[in-house]
Amino acid sequence: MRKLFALYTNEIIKITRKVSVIIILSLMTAGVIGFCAMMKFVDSANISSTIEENNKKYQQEEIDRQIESLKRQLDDIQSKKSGASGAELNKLISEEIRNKNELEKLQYSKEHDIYPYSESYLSIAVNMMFEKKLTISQLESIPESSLDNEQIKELNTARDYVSRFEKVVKNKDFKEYISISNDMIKDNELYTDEQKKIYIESNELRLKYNVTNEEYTNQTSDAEVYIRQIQESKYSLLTNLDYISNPLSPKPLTSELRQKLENRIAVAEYKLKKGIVSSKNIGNSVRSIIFPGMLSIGEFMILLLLMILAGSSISHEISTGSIKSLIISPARRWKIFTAKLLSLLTVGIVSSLILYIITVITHGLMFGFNTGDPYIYATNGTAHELSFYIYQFARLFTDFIMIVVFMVFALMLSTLTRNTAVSVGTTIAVYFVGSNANSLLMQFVTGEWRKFIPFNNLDFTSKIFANDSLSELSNSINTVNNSLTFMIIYILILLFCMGYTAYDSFCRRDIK
Amino acid sequence: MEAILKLTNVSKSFGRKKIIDDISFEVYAGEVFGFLGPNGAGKTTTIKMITGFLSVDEGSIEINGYSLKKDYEKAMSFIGGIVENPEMYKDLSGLTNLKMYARLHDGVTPERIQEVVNIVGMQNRIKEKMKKYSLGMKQRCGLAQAILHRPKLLILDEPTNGLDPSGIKELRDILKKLAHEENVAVLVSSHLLSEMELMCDRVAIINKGKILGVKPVKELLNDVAGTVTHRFIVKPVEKAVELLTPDYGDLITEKTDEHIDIAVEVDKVSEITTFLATNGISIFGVNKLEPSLEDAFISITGGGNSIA
Repeated sequence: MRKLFALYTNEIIKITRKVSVIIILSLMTAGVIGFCAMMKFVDSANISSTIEENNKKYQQEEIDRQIESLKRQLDDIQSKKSGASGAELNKLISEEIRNKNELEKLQYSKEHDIYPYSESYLSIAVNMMFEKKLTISQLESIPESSLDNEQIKELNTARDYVSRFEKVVKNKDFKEYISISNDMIKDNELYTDEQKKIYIESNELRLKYNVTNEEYTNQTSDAEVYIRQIQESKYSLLTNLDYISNPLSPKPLTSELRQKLENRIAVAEYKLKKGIVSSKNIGNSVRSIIFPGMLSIGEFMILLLLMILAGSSISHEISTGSIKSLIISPARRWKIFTAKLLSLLTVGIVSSLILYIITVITHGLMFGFNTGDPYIYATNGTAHELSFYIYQFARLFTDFIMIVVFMVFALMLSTLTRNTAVSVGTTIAVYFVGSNANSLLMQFVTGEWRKFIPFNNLDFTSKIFANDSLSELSNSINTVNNSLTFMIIYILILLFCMGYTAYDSFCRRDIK
Repeated sequence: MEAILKLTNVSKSFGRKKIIDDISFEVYAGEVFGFLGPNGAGKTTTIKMITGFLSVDEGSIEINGYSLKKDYEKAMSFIGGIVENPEMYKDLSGLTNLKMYARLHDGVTPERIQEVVNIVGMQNRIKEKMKKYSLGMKQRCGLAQAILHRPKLLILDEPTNGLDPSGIKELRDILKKLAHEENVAVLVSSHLLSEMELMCDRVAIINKGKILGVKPVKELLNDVAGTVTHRFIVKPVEKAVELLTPDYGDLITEKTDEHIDIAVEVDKVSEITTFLATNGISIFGVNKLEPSLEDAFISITGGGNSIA
């Protein structure tokens, strides 16, 4: 043990004097700080507001174009109507009614400066209002005497709704909009009482968190995403069918899945409350990706560093002959090997700590301390939060598992080939080409065997912190979904095999 | 006498080729033992087996009574040495290298490090990085490392490589002092008999993986001295060869346009010169050549075995 420690100390001394270590760690620092500064610039330039402006202009043009085309279509129908009769005429009349309705809707939207194709409550209100108006026009085209009681009732409720929607648009009254929406849900005969309850609950959440979706023109707001998650989870729980993983032919829920759904609801409610960016909008939210972005730049440099150090550790010593003073010392070879492995791990851990400290300080100075989102998770249906800094720290070390796998791979090649260029080159090539080729391959092949591909078992972070928006994004792309237990066992076996190959080769082969 | 290093029937093959074939010898405390053989004879392979670089296929190696196989760490703790060239960590200073090596041994104090630095005469430059050192300085540093932990067995593979004549003399003195005063067993390999002659107490001659014989160096030199190669610088060479062939034909080892080398006893030299002179050959000089490895081979094997 004393000897192992002495060997380990020597290895650390050797590594710290290497120029490559100093260069790569400096690059890491520069990269991380540089990225943060760049993001600060992007953030302050406020690019999103100009995008928003362009968007608005484009939308107005779009509506104008549509109005023009509808007008042309109406003229067309008018001219055809004169020569038509019977069924043909009826068809044309009903088409005329629909087009007129659409035209009126667009004109109305333009007048009130509402874009009718968004998820804003005003847009929905306008759409529903004109749906009702269409019903009214259709019913009015029939002579009043031939209407039955049912139709008369429908006409009256439609008129009622139209006047209420007009009020919503006029006064921009979100509360009234919610109450209309609730009334419509209650009136809908297709829904069961439980479904009605779920939809009304969603509306209550919208009202509570004021989810008007007004500022979002092209995408679903974060809050809306969470509300829908809650809604679909509740629906799955209600029907006891798993609509989430397979909406077309849902399978019955297991108790485990039920638990998962309950946790999902808790997490979504918590995120809604905290206003956390959702996976759908993560790409548009610069701020939420800065800290993890800085960490992943740094992690890449650490990965590179460890690949180089591990890939040269044995081969470089053999080629320069410096291994001689190690071999001639009274230490068994397994101790020499273990000391090397431990020193590499130490370098990885220490550089990760340095990276974390640099990231926290730089990010804190440029964007304020503790400004990131916490991680939300749930146990037994109750949500908990992991503070931002602890969460990011934990992420760093789950990412480290992948780094260790590549490090051991490089070490194995270094001992087997005794050639630094081959081992470092191959490891870097496998890292870049392998993971990309794998994700490409996964789109074309199916089958159980896919889960035994190493690249499908490396992303521990997305697996462990599955509720993170970034993880949700990468999990949705990932088609092979192995369980965490499988991944852990797989990686342990993989590490053991590679480590043992290297160890055996180093301990037994002659050094000529 | 106490045998510090003991090889018993050691063999080693690389692939199908047998590099070391059943060799046995012992090195005692207090002696400088020479390992003499041409390049590729198996000197370095043997040394690498003793120092743990190569596995031993057959036979056993004991160091100070500990088997290399069973008590590896214990056995290795008695060894110090340089294998081939002294290679240390170039980015570190000589002192750091020594300190790192000291860490792997018990009981090496900072004073001892300073002491060995003084012994090899490196006190002025020991704090510089290894990559700035000349080959001679690296040798000195390697020697310092090899003797740092007061090994009972010191192994040096071609130790005079890269040393200047005064460096070689210093090294020789250090080795003799270590052996004769501190009772260290020293194993030195070389392909130069002249070097062995000045350094060693006993030599083993190795060729093609076999030990041809082990002899005290004095005995070997006496044998060799009996028939030393002499170089006769004569004109015309052809005629001289013609004249000498009947009596000395077997002893001519080399002939060129200018000289003839003949391996003869010293007292025969005047006989030959007289004979040549009386037959009209001009003699420009007669030189006694340094005893060569070839001579030693002839001496130790009785002429039946040559290098080629």
